[in-house]
Amino acid sequence: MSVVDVLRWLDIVPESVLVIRDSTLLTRDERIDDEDEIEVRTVLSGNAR
Amino acid sequence: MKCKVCARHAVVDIRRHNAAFCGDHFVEHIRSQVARTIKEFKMFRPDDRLLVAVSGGKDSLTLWDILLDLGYDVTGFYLDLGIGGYSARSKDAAIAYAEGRAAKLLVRSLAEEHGYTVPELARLTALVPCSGCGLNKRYEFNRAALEDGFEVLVTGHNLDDEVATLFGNVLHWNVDMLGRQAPVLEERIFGDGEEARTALVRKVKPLVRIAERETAAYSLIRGIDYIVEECPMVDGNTQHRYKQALTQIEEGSPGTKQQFYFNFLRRAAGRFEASEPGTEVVPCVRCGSPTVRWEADGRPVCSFCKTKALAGRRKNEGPEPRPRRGRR
Repeated sequence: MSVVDVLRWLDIVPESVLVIRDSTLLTRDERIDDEDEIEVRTVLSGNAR
Repeated sequence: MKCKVCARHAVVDIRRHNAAFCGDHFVEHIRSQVARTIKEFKMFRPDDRLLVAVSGGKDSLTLWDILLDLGYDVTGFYLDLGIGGYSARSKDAAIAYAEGRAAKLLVRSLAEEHGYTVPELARLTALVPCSGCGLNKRYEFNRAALEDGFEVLVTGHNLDDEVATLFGNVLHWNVDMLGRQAPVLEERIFGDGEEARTALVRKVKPLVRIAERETAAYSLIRGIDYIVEECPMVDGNTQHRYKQALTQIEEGSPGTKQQFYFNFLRRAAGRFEASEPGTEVVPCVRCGSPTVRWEADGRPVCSFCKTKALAGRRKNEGPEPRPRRGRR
């Protein structure tokens, strides 16, 4: 599956996150294997400004 | 995907630019976008002393990193809001970054300056935590810049922040807020001649062209150890909900956020007045900061002073809730 497929399967908007594998960022077309461990990091903050 | 500059393996895609970049060229791209914004909006001069408001998060640390790399004389300012372990960890991130870059950092705490933390302020005044927090940050950032003689206050507001604010102002037709929403808020001076004094330092937002996802990617690629966790007090706040809705739209139509914001600046911002009819901006009678005076208001007091006084009164009244008048 690609990064974007995994995110849609998880019901996550791809524009709202970064996907990281082995400390490296992945673009949305990157392939992810079953045994890969990835971090999905939220980037939208709601901090008062 | 391939980097649009060198055709190496890309690590970040920016769909609204129809482009992808390797790590090195992404950093270069973000830096050049910030430099372009500073120049386009004439934010500051090369020899100005800048104070950058730093929270320990991705936006402010990215901004500080870029300003240092561009060679500006920039000092960080961290305000400890007293939000438990979150504030402690965010302060550690700001200090660690400053030490790593041998950069100057000023640190102050709300508890030491005013006798309350953000959670206490919310409890004492019944203000929404983010409102009290924003009010105190704006006040303290300006005060620090004035006291230490900085020409410009720089904040890490990014494209997503500005778009969410614009969206909220349009939804509620806050026309005076629309008149004040800009990447540069000019210095405000009170008095003439020898009496003249700066009441509000010039405030600028060099990240308005950079999306939140890009500051996170920049931090990661540059090895900036920012505080990833969200402030525990923002859960479900309005700004966050607007960002989620707008990001959903952006996903389907890349470039929507940038067009909404920059077309507002080009085509609409000038049509709104920065102040409401029947009001004028005058110094607060207590602290001297600018505040809005309505026609019938003889001795205007700014929101910060009113809130601080209310918190003080409630604190002195003790832990018992105040009796409510006129209600059964």
